[in-house]
Amino acid sequence: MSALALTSHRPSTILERWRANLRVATATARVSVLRYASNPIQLLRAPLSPVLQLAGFVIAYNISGQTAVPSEQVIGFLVIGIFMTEAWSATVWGSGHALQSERYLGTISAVIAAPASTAAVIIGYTLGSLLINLPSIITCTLVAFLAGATFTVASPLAALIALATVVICTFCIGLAFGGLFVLSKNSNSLSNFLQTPIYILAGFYVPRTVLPDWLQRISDLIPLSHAVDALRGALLQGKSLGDLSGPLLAALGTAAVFLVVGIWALGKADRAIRRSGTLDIL
Amino acid sequence: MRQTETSASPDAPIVADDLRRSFRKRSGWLRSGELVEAVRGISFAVPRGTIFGMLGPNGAGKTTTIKMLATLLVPTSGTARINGFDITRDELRVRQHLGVLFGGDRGLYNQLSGWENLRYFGSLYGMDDDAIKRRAGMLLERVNLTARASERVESYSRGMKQRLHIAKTLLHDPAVTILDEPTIGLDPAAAIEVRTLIASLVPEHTVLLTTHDMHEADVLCREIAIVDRGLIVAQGTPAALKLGAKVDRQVIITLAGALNGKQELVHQRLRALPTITQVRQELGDDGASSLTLRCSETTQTLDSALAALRELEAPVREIQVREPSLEDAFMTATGREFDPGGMEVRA
Repeated sequence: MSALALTSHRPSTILERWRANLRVATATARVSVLRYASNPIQLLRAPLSPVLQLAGFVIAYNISGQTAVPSEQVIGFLVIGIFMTEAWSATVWGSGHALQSERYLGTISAVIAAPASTAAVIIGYTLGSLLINLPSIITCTLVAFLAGATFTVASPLAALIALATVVICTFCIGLAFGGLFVLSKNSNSLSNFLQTPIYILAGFYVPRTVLPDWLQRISDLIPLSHAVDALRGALLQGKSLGDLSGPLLAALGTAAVFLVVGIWALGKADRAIRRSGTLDIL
Repeated sequence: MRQTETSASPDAPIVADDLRRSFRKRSGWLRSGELVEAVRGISFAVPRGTIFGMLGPNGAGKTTTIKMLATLLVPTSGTARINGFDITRDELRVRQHLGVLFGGDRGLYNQLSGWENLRYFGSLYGMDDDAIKRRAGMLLERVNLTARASERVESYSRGMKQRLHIAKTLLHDPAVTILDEPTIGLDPAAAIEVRTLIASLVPEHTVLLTTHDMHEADVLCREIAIVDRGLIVAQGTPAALKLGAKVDRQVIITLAGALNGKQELVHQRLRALPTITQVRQELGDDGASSLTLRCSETTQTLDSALAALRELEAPVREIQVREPSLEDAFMTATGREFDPGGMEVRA
């Protein structure tokens, strides 16, 4: 085989490029899952932790005497919040922690020195984290059903589209923060720092309507806030696709902004890191 | 720079032209740090199908240079081309045509098997599953890891990890490979294995090897650039570099016994030989004389000296010939002794 037989092929059409990026993202996700699965303690912790979290929130809601969420919807409301937490964790923890781990292992130079798109690699981290979190989501949903959660789904299509919107928003936000994580020597700490405020801002555990006005304005800028509204509307209030068009469009619109900013920022971060020479510095 | 014979053309697979790279040392949040010039104008070209060595102590600028060639670091000034592609203007093409082995035993996913590592890195180079399987199978065989390919990398020895690194570097069959300190930290047996592998890469691949191991550079490289403090201070074939070293060649002859009155005669005869510049005699603990002959050339000196001693009936017990080494070449080029630890200025 000639030296160039494998190296000279370069995706030329948009379709080929998409296909190549998809392969990189799925391969990265696969590696993330395999690495995660190699740790038995994580495998045990992952499904238990959100169930305990859910139990804690349900108790807090029950003893608070709150009226913002109808009592028959509390468990459903919270389990969707847990699902959103797992999706959000997949975004920030996924890419932030993954990049820090690549630095720690010394693999980051080899990953970046490859011709693969850095954006595809970061999307792969997010996809991997989503897959890793899937058992947690399933366990939590089962427990919620057993605990008497009720869901009212009038339009399964609306529910599916809302769910897909959550996933799309997750990838777009992951990409938006990707540049920041590439630049940061402490992407792990940064991802931890970014993780918690969104629980409140995007209404994962409390309805956004109870937030002060100024916080609601900030919340409106976050795609996941609208996605969670749409998902709750589809799963708890039996809303149709038409009813959900507002939050769905808002979610996808803000996600598109995050996507564009993310791709731009990742390009800038890539150049900045190559100028500073700090890529592999822990 | 003292330049000896080179044979690379400007369209060689690796060409560096006046590469420079400075860093500002960080000294706090507000204070701007001191500017450090890690690479101060490095130029070289590597002929196709050969191994070119960059030899120098830590902090000499070797790793910074290869990071620039691998498109991981933007040069402050200067240019370089990998297989004809500019490292700053066509970085994607450079990455496709280049395989880089970064030094040390890191750089692999320890929780994954050797095979899974290769599979992932192959996908980052746009290879499909069939190509990865075919190529990885062949390379695992070549680096003698087929039997251990399904085991986690964390169970590998350092030498095995380094062999896997080599397989990873060659996976996409790059025309050009850069190996940064590939034998660092290996035990002698593992280092020999890795060197044998590196030697087998040519002429299929063009190899740039960085090392601070003089012996490694000597046995593997067709041409060597001695790098010190960000500059190439000497360049040429190992033989040419050694030939240019400004040190005396020495022939040390240990006699079977004392010279017993013939001392003056022996000295006279040896001093008269045209290649000898100095004769020094020492008496060993066992009473045997040892003659250290400083000379301009060793083969003829040895022949003539042995003939003279035979004639004078001075029986010889042991002969040592000391030719200049790459250490001597380094010393000639830099004016100081080679210290592999060097100074730490890392990119």
